[in-house]
Amino acid sequence: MKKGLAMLYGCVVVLCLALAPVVMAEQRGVTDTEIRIGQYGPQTGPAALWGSVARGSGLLFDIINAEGGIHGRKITYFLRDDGYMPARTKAIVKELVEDKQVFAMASGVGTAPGMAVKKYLDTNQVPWVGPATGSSHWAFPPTKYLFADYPLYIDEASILVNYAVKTLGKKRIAIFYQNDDYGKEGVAGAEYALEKLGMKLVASVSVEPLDTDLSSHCMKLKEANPDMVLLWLLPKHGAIILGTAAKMGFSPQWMTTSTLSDTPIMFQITKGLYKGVIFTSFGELPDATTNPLMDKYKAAKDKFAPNERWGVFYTAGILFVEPMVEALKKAGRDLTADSFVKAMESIKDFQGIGPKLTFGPNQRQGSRASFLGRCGEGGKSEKLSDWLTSDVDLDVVLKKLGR
Amino acid sequence: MRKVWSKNRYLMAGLMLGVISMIAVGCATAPATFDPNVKGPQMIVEPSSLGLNVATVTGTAIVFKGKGFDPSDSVFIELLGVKKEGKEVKVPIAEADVGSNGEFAAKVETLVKVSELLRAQTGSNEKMETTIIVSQPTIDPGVYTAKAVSMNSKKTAECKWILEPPSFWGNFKDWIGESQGKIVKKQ
Repeated sequence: MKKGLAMLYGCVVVLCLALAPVVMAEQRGVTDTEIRIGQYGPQTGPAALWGSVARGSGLLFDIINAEGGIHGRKITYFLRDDGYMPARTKAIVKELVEDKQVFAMASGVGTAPGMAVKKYLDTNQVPWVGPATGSSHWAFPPTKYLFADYPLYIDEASILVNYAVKTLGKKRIAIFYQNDDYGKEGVAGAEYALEKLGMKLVASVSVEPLDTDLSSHCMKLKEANPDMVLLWLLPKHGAIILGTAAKMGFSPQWMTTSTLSDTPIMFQITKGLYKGVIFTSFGELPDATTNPLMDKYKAAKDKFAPNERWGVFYTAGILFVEPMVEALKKAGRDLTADSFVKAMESIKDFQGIGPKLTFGPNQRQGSRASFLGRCGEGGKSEKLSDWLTSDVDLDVVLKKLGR
Repeated sequence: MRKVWSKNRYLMAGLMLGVISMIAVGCATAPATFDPNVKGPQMIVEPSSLGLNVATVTGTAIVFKGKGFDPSDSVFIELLGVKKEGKEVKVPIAEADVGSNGEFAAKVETLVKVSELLRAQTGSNEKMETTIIVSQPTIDPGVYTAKAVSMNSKKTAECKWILEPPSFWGNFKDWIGESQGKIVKKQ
């Protein structure tokens, strides 16, 4: 009897040991044939214009699958419409992680929707690559599973100020910004760059998201007599301020962030007033590039998504997840959240359709570079510079922002 | 004599107004409070009922308050049993972080009010002013269950929320909004 029991225990132990690697190797969202990836983004509602980011990411996954997948696994992509409403973002992300069992989250438009799920994703060890906003909250302080590759708003503002002063010879810089984290990071970057140049903003005027009459704001800006005004706004406010300024005969050089870099749309809604506006870009311009990768992506778009508009936010959706695909390749067949993080951390000077990207064990911001473009006739954009790297000391700026 | 009578009349009118105001305040729904006998998670909503007019919905601060959740958790609030395209669905309408005392206050944002309660859209008029474009009926009036769902645990809490048909006063306010071009009805 005792011998029989001992045999039985022995068998159980052997069975447990045999199964242990299988159980340990089990990773949410990864099977022999599949890697599950999710993304939220506004497909409806007032921010739907930016929803093409999520569809652009989907194009890259279609390309990868058509090429045979990664290490024998195809990507199954779950795209959900959050309507730019953080409450819906939370419900979607919980569903994607706990019901759909996604391995990782790709990009995702909006600071408020992203901030609503940042902690949850980190707690649940879900890798997340390329949130589609330039907030410094993603990478500073760094967290294990989150990797950012959108240029920081702080860096964009600094790059624009340096270009305005050093290249265009502008002497009186003002800023018109949205009174929230997005706008304040623009102000902080501009102030930093100006301080280094021994200058100060001649005016700093804020607007609330729901304001519609910008006459008094425009008057304040005009009274300061700036020769360059930075715009850190919603596209709607960008259009209103250009229209109001034109009526007042106020025509400084306008410069703005990548958020307002969809020049064909901006040209259209400003009835042509956007011509001449200088902007920062997070990636190659869809119609003004010699990058062969863009040609490849354009051909794939024509094949997989012929009705999509080949715009800057669609291509942004590709570039924000390019390093994710690179890390999935580098991680090899033994894909886990930890092996993926290690692979991301090993990315050095990766070149896709954005700036060169480098991550590291304590480096979660892939790049500090942007290039400049200018809106031309009919909303066509032209490249004004090569990639320009920011020299902002983020410790100084983030401290100023109370972080 | 006439002057004295006139003074008395004003006094009477003032008194009557005061009495009507007091009755109105007395009749108004008392703000919901947490039940001290409940030990687990619970939730209340302010106001506990709401008329489904554009002006009323967009002009009212709607806040779901909860307690009994884990500190540093976060929650979202969803309305249950909402009829949409022939199905009954859950509609997330607010979210918040839970404070160190286990409490939260989740405000319903304007975009949610417009999209999910009014089922309308935002747009811009020629002056680039924000407009509310109404092209379909609002969410059905009725008594709904709102549920707070924890992101990091299995904890939930529920409360009832009454969405009422548009009132006469609400319709009048919407009519003013329409005449100012801030509400556009395309029904």
